[in-house]
Amino acid sequence: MTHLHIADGVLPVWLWLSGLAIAALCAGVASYLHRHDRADRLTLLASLCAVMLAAMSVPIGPLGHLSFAPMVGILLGPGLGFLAALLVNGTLALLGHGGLTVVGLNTCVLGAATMSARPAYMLLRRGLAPGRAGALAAIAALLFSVAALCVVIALANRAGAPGAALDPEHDLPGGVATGRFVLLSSPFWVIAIAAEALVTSSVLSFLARVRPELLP
Amino acid sequence: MSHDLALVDTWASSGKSLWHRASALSKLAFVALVLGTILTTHSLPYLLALYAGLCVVVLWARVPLGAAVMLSLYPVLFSSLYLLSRWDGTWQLPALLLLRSLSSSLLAVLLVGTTPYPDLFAPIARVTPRLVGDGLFLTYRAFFGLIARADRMWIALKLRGGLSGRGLPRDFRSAGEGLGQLVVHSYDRSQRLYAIMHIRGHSGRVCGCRHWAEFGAEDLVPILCGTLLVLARFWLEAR
Repeated sequence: MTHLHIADGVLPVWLWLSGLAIAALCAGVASYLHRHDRADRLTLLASLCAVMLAAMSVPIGPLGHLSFAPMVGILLGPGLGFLAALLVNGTLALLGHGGLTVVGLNTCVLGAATMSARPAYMLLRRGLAPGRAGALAAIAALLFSVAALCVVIALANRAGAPGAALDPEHDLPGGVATGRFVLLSSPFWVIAIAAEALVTSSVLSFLARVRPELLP
Repeated sequence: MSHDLALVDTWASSGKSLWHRASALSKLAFVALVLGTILTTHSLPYLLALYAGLCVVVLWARVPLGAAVMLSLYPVLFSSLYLLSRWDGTWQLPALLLLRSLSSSLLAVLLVGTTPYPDLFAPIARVTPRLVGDGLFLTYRAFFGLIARADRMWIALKLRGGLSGRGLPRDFRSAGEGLGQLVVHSYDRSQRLYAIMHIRGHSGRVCGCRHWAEFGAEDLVPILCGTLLVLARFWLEAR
């Protein structure tokens, strides 16, 4: 629920092109920084992306599902975490689950959560147990992701709807549309963030018990 | 989600239609042509005709139309909040955005439903960094290694009362423990896969599939269909 599932043709062309450019740049930098990693990092990245796709089968109410992004971010770190967001969104786009052109923006929004989760977790881990630190890190990471989503929507609304050419007189002012979107989405965000924090805390407590060497 | 991926993979790998026999590159060109048209048109009649045309192509490719349309409905469900926030009181704008969403998602489903994933990811891997290209391929592969285990785990959790399905905090804690097991399993599996790759002489690139660029007479089908759909736009808009 915290990441975009808006399809093709809804956002202005310049916005999704910018999203693709930013995602390509971040993916390029992440790939460069991890170019000397052993191949087992690649297989781990792929395996955790697969878990992320499996976790998306867990529903949160009628319109949402788990994203597992903070948990994958904590386990992989910012660089590989961003690549995980790109791989998952690429796979989803090919299923018609979110548009092909908005893969870049989807990746930036989901990547905001995967990239920020590990630093937040490491900071909180100094004084808290893994479960609690993970829950708080998940909340922080998802709030960051929601903020990124709001920026995307505000930019889209500022430019006017792509179909506004049909009837320019009826096009809504950008601020009103963004306010409406935030108002309509807030209840879902609160529920999704709470659910994600519970799941992250539960996974981290479980891993701390059975395989502590997997935790950062 | 997991069943959708498995379903689409079955369509792609077991189909024998003209669309399945065409190369991945010609189908990617078809998608680029049609998607470009979808994104630039404001004509509702054209988008309606295009959606109907895509449904015919899906039937022609012998992909189950009902299931493909259901898959393409996902973005409508998820875009509803955005559409509601942008609603200006007229019906044209929601209809335009809805038809664009439906057509582009059906297009994506047609592409993956007729192209096996090694063929589809091979051209993508050529233009992306190694971690992304190989990552896409291995994610897809890892997902099918995980799907049966994940299904068994969700069923076991439900049967034992771990998941009530009402979205209670207890449900998410149980789901977390289950996902923790999947993480551990995936970690072990990734180590095993790395060992196998190492033994087989992994050279730094995973995807070596070359079928994606094997051209034949079938490749004319996507190219001609794409051109026809683009020309239909100009014809309809000129009337």
